[in-house]
Amino acid sequence: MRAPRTLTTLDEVDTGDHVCQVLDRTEDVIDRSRAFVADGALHGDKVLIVGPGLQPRGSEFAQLVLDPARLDVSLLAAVRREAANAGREGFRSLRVLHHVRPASPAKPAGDLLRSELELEEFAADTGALVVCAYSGADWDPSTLDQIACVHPHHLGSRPASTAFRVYRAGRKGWAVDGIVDSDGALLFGTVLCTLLAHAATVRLRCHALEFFDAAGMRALADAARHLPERKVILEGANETVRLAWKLSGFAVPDIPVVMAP
Amino acid sequence: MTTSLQQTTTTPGGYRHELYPYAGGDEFVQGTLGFIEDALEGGEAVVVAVPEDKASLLRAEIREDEAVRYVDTSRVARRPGRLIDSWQGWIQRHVEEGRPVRGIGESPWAQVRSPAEAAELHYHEWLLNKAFAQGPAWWLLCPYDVAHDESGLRDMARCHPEMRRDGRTTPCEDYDAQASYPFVPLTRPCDPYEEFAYTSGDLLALRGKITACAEEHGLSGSRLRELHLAATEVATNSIRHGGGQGVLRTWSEDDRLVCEFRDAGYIENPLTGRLRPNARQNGGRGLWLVHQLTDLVEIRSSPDEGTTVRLHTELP
Repeated sequence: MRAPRTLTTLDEVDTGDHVCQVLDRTEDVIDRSRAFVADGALHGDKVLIVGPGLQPRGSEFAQLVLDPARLDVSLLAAVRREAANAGREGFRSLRVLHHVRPASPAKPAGDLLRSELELEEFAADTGALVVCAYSGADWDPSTLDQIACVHPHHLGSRPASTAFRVYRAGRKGWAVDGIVDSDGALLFGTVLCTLLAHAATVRLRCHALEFFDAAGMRALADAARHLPERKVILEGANETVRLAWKLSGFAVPDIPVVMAP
Repeated sequence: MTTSLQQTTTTPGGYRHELYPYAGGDEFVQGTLGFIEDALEGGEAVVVAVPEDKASLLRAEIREDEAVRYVDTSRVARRPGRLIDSWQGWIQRHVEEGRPVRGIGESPWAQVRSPAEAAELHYHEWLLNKAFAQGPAWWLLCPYDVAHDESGLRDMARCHPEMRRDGRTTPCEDYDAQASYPFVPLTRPCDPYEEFAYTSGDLLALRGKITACAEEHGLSGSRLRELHLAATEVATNSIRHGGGQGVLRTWSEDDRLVCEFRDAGYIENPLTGRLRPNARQNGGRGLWLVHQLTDLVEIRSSPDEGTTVRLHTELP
């Protein structure tokens, strides 16, 4: 199973990784990622760079450079298509460098979370290597924390301060690790709602969940019932979480959460 | 689906809470047996929640059946903060059936392990009047053995609107429904104690402080996780509602680990944390979990002096 980890350089990336890279204000995404992109040839990966205004410099290294604003399909559909192409073209895998820029004000912030969760699922399920580069100058710290929590891998001079991470665990589910307390409960609920908007059942492995407080449980309960016909299966939650869930009054039929071994 | 006791009324008349001072087993049986027989003659159900040695005296006279249920309070009453919910659970079925119900409730005073536990049991008796004031009509008789402790009778009388003596029920002169509860002051922390000031962003460090103290005394595993959860709920209340900060003190005392939290907040409703939450309510779970996950909870709160919460966890 994929394990979350913090990287010191992009040399440490492996297939199936989904890395959140936070760049300093002075760092240039292409310069900073030159070796990562060049390694694509070394490992026999097809390299795809996604980001606005990266041509023609990106073309020096990558087989393909895409501007998200000019895509005729969603970003997920585009990378899936290129992953399929890479397979047919004899590459080992697809290597994606996604330089993420702030969306227009009209585009809700939830779209970014959904997009990152889709990329996380894509990387885990296909073995593609996806690096999402965020320039610290373009994003406020709280948004970067939110984004970091849906990446299992982190790289950057700014330490990852997210208390929990939600990431893909196998083809059938997700995992949450770390601490979900009152500080992160709202974000945890948002992540769950995003997952439940696209799947009737969300399996969440909790073996590495260190702490889960009443606010986190409330967020879980609210997320599970905010859309009809949805279900959350919590696997491997420790006995304290199970006990507190029952004591909190949430173990009732109209809250579709199942505690599984 | 369970029915909330606070939304159901079995018979008109409200909640009756009556103290019955007695001396010795014979007087105990004499007073309680008559109470049970009266109830059964009227078609009422009875829950007898007393220590097992007292229950055995009654069992010889009245068997347990559909109408009469015995509950041993020897263990249950060790956690006074959970007792209101226990009573709600014990009378629940009868309330749902619309059957009038009476209770006999005696805490195991002879087995109380600390002054703090005794003080919380007294406070529980006082809180019962608040908890069931708007609920179903039922009648709770509280036997109290003056042969064990005559001096405690006045404390008990402050918590009961009525007293039964010589077969007659009269109002308790010491009970004042409008007065606030006369708490005894908290004891001083035992030396040596550790202190840690916390504010937003410090919850992880706070749990670390508690872990260090707990492990020093052999507390680990699920008991430590439960204490972490309880402590986090109290500290979160400090940060959210108690002026944004608080001070944690930890020490050990009589085979218990004590975690004390002080902040500038005020808990206005004395029943906060005593009533079981339902799935739909927004908040109100933090202090409820605290009472359920620790062995004893002491709370002192006033607008002038802020709030002090002490969590006691029995050490292995």
